[in-house]
Amino acid sequence: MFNSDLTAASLLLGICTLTWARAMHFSPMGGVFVRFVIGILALLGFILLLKGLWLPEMVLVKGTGDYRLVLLVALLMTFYVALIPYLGFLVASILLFALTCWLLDRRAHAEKHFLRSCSAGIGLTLLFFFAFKYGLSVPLPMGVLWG
Amino acid sequence: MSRLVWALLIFLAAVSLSVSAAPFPAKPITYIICFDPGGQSDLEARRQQPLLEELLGTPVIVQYKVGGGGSLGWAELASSPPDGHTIAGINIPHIILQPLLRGDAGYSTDSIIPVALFQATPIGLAVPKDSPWQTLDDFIAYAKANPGAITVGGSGTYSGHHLAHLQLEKLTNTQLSYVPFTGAAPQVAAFLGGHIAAMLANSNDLVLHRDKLRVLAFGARERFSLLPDAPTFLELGLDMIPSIDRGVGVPKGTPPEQVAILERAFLAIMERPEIQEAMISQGFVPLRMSREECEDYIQQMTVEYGAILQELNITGAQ
Amino acid sequence: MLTQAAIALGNIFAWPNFGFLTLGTLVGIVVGCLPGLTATMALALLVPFTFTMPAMQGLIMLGGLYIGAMYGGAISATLINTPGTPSAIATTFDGFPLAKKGMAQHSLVAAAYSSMIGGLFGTVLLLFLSPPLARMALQFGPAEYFWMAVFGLTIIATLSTESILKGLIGGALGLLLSTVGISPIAGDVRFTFGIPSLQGGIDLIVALIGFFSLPQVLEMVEEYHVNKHIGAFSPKPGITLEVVKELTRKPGLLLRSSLVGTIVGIIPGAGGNIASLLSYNEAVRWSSRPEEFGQGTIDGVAAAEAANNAVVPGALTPLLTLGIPGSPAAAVFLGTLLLHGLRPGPELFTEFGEITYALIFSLAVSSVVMFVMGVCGSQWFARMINFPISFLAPMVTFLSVIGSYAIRNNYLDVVAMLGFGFLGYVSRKLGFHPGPIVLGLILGPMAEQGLVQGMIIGRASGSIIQYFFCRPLSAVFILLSFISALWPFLAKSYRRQMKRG
Repeated sequence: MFNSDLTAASLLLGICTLTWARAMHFSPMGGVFVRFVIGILALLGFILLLKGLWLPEMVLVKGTGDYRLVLLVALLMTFYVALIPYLGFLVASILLFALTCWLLDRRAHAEKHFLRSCSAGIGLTLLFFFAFKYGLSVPLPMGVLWG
Repeated sequence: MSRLVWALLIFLAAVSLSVSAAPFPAKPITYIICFDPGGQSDLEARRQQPLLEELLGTPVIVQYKVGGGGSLGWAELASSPPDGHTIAGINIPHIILQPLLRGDAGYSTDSIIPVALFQATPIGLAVPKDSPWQTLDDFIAYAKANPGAITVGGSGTYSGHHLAHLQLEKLTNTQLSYVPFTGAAPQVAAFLGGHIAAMLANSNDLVLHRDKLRVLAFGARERFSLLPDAPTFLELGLDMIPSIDRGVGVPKGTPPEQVAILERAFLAIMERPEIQEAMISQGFVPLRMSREECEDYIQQMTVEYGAILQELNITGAQ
Repeated sequence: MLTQAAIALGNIFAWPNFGFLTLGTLVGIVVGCLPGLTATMALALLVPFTFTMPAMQGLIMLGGLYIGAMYGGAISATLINTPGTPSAIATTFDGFPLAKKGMAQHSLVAAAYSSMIGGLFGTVLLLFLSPPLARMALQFGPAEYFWMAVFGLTIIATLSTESILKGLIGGALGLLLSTVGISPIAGDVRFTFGIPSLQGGIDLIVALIGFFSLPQVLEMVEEYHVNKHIGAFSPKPGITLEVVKELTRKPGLLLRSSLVGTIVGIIPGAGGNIASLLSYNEAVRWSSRPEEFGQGTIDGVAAAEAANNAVVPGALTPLLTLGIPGSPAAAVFLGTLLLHGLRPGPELFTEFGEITYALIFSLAVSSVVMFVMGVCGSQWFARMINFPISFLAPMVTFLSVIGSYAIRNNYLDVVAMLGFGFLGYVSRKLGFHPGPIVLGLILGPMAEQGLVQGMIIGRASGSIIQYFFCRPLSAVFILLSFISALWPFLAKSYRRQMKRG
C-alpha cells in the first residue's frame, strides 16, 4: 500500500516545473495558453497534494492481479516495437503472436491451442501486411534485414 | 566540404549507374504529400498520378506524411535514399522559411532538389462585398487613421500569408492586426462570418468565394482572368508579389539523369491544355518551371525572405 | 427542385450506382473498424477512382463510405475497447462493458440502429434547412470556439465518476499534451525536446490507441489466471428486434443525440469526436437512471453513435451551401466537387441539382444499407469476443501498432503509442481515466486558437474582455458551461429534495 495521491501530486508538480521552464521562452501568443494550462495544472496538483496529506487514498498494489505476467507482456510489447525496425513488421509480428501465446498458455500445456493461435496470427499478419501495402498504399516497415 | 561530398555522391551515383545501367524508374515511385488528404497538394498529386504512371511506366504511390506545416514530410524526403524513387510535393515559401525560422526543422532548404514547379497560388487581399473599402487606398487610409484596428486573417504565422501581411504593413507604412488561422477553411469561415475585417487568401479561395468578396489587391504580375477587377499589388505601386508555389522535389544526391527524367514527365503534364484549363478554373496559375529555373527562384526568394526577416528582427534561434 | 430530387433518387437505385454506394458503405465499415485508418484517409484513397466516374457516381460512393466509417468505429470500440475512429470514443464507455457482459451483439445492433437514425435525421435537416443552418455556422467566431471548448471540458464532471479532482487533472494534462509541436497560431516550436518528428505534435489517434487499447490488453493479462476470456457470447435469436424495440421506445434520446450531432457537425472545426462526447454527456444528464452509464447500457452506445453519424450530413451542410468544409473528411468532398468542375454555392442546388441531391440522398440510403450490413454482421463480429485472451492480447497489440503507424507512416508514432499505453495503464491504477485526458487533447487546439485569435481581435476592437463576454452566442455558451459544471451538484440536491418531499 502506498499513498497514490502524494505520488501523483509530486509527479504533476514536477511536470509543471519542467514545462514552465520551457514555456518561459515562448512568444507571447504562443505561450499564453500553455502558461495558463500549466498554472491550472499546478493549482490542481497542489490541491491533490493537500488532499494526499489530509485524506490520503491508499492504493493496493498487490491485488488479485497477476502483475508478473503484466510486466512480462509489457516487456514483450516493448521488444516487439523495438524489433520492428530491424526484423521488419512481418517477422516481428509473427514472433509477437508466438511468444505471447507461449507465455500465456505454457502452463495450460495446450499445444493444440498454441498452434492454432500461432497459425491464426501468421495468417492475420500476412493478410494485413499485403492489404495495407497494396490496398491502402501504406508500406509497413520491412526492416533492415529484408531491405 | 559539402561540395566535396556532393562531387563524391555524384561520382558514386554515376559509377553505379554506368555499372548497372539500371533503367529508371526501376520500381514504384513514392510521392509524399505533406498536407492533409483533400488539400490542394493532395488534389494536384491525384490529378498527376495517372499521367505520371503513364509517362514513367511505373506505379506512383501517394503517401501522406502530414504535420508541422509540412516539415515532417520534407524531413522524410531529405532522409530518403536519393535514387529518384521518392519524391515529395514542395511548397515555396514553406521550404525556405521553416529552416530559417525553426532551430531544427528536420531538413534544410538545400537538402531538397526541386524537380519542377507547376502551380502558383497568388495571395490576394480581400474584404467582404459589403465592406466600406472599395479600393486599397480606402483600406490604407482607414488603417492610417486607426492603427491596429483592422483585423486581417491569414493562415499560419511566418507563413506566406503572414509575410505578405508584414510586407504590406512595411510598404504602406500602416499597422494592421494579423489574425492567424490554421488553414483555409477556418479562415474563410471567420471571414464570411464577419469576425475579421479582411483576409489575405489564396487565389483558389478567392475564386471559390468570389461572389461574396472584393479583392483589393492580387499577388501576380498580371491580372487573373477569373478575377478581372482585382488590380495587382504592382499596379497599385506596391512592390510585392505574394504567392505560394507548388512543385515536386527529390532528396539531395539524386543523380541528375533521374531528376531530368522526372522533370520531363512533370513538364510534359503541364503542357496538356486540359490540365492548364482545370487549374485556371479552380483559381490557380499554371507554371512550367524547369529544375534550373526553380533553383534560381529558390535562391532569389531565400535572399528576399532572409532580408525581410532580418529587417523585422526575427530569427529562428528558439 | 422536386423533379431534380426525384431524378436523383431514381439514379441512386439505378445500376451500377447502387452497387458503388453499397461498396462504399462496406469499405467504410471496414476502414472505420480498424483503429488508425480514418474516414478521411479512405476517402482520399478513393478519389482517384472517382476521376474516371461521372461526378454523381463518385460522390455517392464517397457518401456511403463516410457514413459506413462512422459506424465502423463502434465495432472495435465494443469488441476491443479501442475506438476505430476518434468519433467512437464515447462508444467505448458502454460498448465494451456490454461486451464483457456477453451483450456485444446488443451493442453492435444499438450502434447500427442509432447510426441509421442519426444519418437519416441529419439528412432531413440538410435537405430542408441547409441555408439557415449554414448561416448559424458562420456565427462562430474565435470567442465562440473558445467558450464551446470550455463547455466541452465541463463534460469531465460526467466522465470522472470516481474523483472530479483527478478528472480535472487528466483534462489539464490533455490540454498540455495538445500544445506539443509547432504552434499553429504563433509558430513557436513547443516541447519537442529537439526531436524534429515531434514538430507535428501528438496525433489524437495515436494517443487514443495508446490510452484505450494497450491498457486493456494489460488488464486482460492481469486477470488471465482467473478469466481466459473477456466475455462469452452465444447467439440468440431476436436480439435485433429486442434492441430496436427498446430504442424506439426512447425517441427523445435518439432525436436529441442526432440533433447534437448535426449541429456540432455543421460547426467547422468540431467533428464527430466532440459530437459523440457531448451527446453522451447529455444522455447521462437527462437519463432517469444515470448510474447505469459506464456499466454497459445500450442507451450510452446509442447516444454516441446517433450523434457521430448525424455529423456526416452536418459537416456537408456548410460545404454545399458556402464551400466551407465542416470536417477534414468534408474537405475531400470539396476537392472532389472541384475536380469535377462543380463549385459549391447556390448553383449546386439549381444547375447541378441532380448531382447534389444524389449526394444528399446517398447519405440516407447508405444509412439504411449500413444498418442492414451492421445487423447481419453483428452476430459474426460479436463472436470475436469468444477468442481466447492468449490470442486477443497479441492481436490487439498488433492492431495498435499497425494503426498508429498507418496514420502518418511514422515509426516514432508507434513508440509514442506504446508510451501512452504504459502511461495509461499506470494512471488507471492511480485512478486517472483516459476519458478526460483525451477530451483535453481534442479540445486543447480549439480552446487555444479561440483564445489567441480572440485576444488579437479583441485588442484590435478595443477591449478583449468585451469581445469575450459581450456577444450573445458566447453568453449562451458561458451560461451552459456554468449549468453543466454545476449539474452534478444540482442533480444531487434535487434528488435529495425529492426524497424528502
